[in-house]
Amino acid sequence: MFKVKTELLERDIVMAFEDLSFKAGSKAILNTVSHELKKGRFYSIAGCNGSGKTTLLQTLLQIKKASSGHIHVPDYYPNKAHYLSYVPQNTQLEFDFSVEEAVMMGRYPYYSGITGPNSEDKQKVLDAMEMTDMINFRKRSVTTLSGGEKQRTIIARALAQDTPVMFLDEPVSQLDVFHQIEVLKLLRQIADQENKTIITVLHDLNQVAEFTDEVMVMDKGRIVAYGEPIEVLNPELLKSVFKVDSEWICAKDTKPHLIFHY
Amino acid sequence: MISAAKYKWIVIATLVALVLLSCIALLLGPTNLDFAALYDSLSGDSANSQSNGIWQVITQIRLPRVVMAILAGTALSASGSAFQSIFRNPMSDPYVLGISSGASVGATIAIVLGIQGGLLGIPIFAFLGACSALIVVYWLAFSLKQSEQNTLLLAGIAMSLMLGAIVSLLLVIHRDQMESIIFWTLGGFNAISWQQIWIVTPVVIFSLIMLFKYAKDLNLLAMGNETAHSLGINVKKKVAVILLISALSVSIVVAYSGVIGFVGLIVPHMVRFTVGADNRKLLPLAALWGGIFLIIADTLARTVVQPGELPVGSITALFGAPYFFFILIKRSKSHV
Repeated sequence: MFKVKTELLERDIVMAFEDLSFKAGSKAILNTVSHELKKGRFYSIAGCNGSGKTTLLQTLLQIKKASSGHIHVPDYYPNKAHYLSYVPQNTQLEFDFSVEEAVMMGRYPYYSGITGPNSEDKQKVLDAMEMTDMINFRKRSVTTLSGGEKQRTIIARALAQDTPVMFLDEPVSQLDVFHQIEVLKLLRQIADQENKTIITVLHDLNQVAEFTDEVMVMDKGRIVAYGEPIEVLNPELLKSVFKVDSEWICAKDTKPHLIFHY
Repeated sequence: MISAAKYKWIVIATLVALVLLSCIALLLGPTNLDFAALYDSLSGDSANSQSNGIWQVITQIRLPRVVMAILAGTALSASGSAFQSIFRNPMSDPYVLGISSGASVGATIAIVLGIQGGLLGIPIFAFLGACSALIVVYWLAFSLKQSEQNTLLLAGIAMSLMLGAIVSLLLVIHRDQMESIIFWTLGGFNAISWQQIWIVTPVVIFSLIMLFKYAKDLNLLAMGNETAHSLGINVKKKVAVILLISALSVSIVVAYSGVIGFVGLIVPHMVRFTVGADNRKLLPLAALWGGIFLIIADTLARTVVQPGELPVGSITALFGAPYFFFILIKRSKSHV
């Protein structure tokens, strides 16, 4: 379980990890990473395939057991699912659950099978479907949804779980541009309005810069750089981590954009 | 998918159908009876019934069959629903872990050794066979240190193939007993006694209650291990517990009634089409529909070619396989 460190509360930190490692056999997938996550901030994790992004999320969620290191949280939660929610890279939607039933699963950690959901549970499910614009699909079977609708359903489930910290692994990688922007705007809104901490793996570095407060760049199981995206994602770092040539350009009256030279 | 009120009505209608079909099943057979005789015998008024023979036929031959059909259908369908959620594969059935083939090997060995059926004998060998297959599959899957259900599924398939080969070998070596081995393998309720019912009933009821208790967890497991884990489920432990509970009830049913295929595969599907995938609605209804399905199959098995009798397993396969094709076609259409 997580270790409780109450002084984190004063510094508005929702989770701090120290020298976290995860080994598969003798290979270190995650190599002594440390960082602190602040309340209400929107974090992104960027890095090449196999750099340890998903492993970092899953180790923090304790889906994978860390080989060494510590994870600190400011308060004691008897049920981890009341503190952290997770949108995995691929959620299987093989079975005919309705959207409402799938979103209600986010409330499972809060009620017993005998009593059933109370009015607060039901309200949170409605709110989550409202926020993700899935309310009109509530009776539809999840197997009949498009990729974007499925993703919004899963995000709604995580929202209904109502945790202070949300982890999302590549939440937009399977969506079209329109829905990518919709989902990222929604996450931005959740961080700003609900004061939740969001950690998400993103591949599009312009989206990282546009939507997130802070990026952690991972390479070979380590966090090699972190901070404000426009400062961190400089041409030198991108060359060394992603092996690409890039530059930030700034057209008139727009935010800077990263372009790549092929 | 459906409202609570509608679900309630479906359950009530199902219960009524179960009772009616049970009564009809009690009346049909080589000696056809009518409702008056049934009433007399069920009310225990055996002195007034036409003869003690009717009472005997109904209470000692037909009633145990009907009860066993309900128990078997219930256990197979509920376990099938659970297995499908756990393996996240709507095409898996209660036999995927090698339970049926293990039982077949056990029963075949018993028959070959000349051990007679009845309360002990063949059923005990079948039960031991099922359990040994299960233990080996578990040991294989978990010694690989993977909690992925796919490993279990593959180990189960490999185990089934190997045990199937052993049954074939024994069949070839002991040609003289081929008929009784094959008849056992096809499954049926023709020699069910009350003593057997008393053994099977508590096990099946226990496993049903436990599965209902785990309905929420099964929903989460159906969404994937990571999702289940992030919503507070200890995946490895829960999968092992649920599989053991359902395997226990399936193997005891198989021990007394042989391998009856397709029930645990298609009944959960029929129910899912009707009430959706939520295990809290699916499990109770699948259990009831499984009972109905096997009452019908067993009644057909013993009435179609009177005075002879067909194996129930072949009836369920005859109806089940085409329905399975129908599911496959429907799935491929809805997943475009």
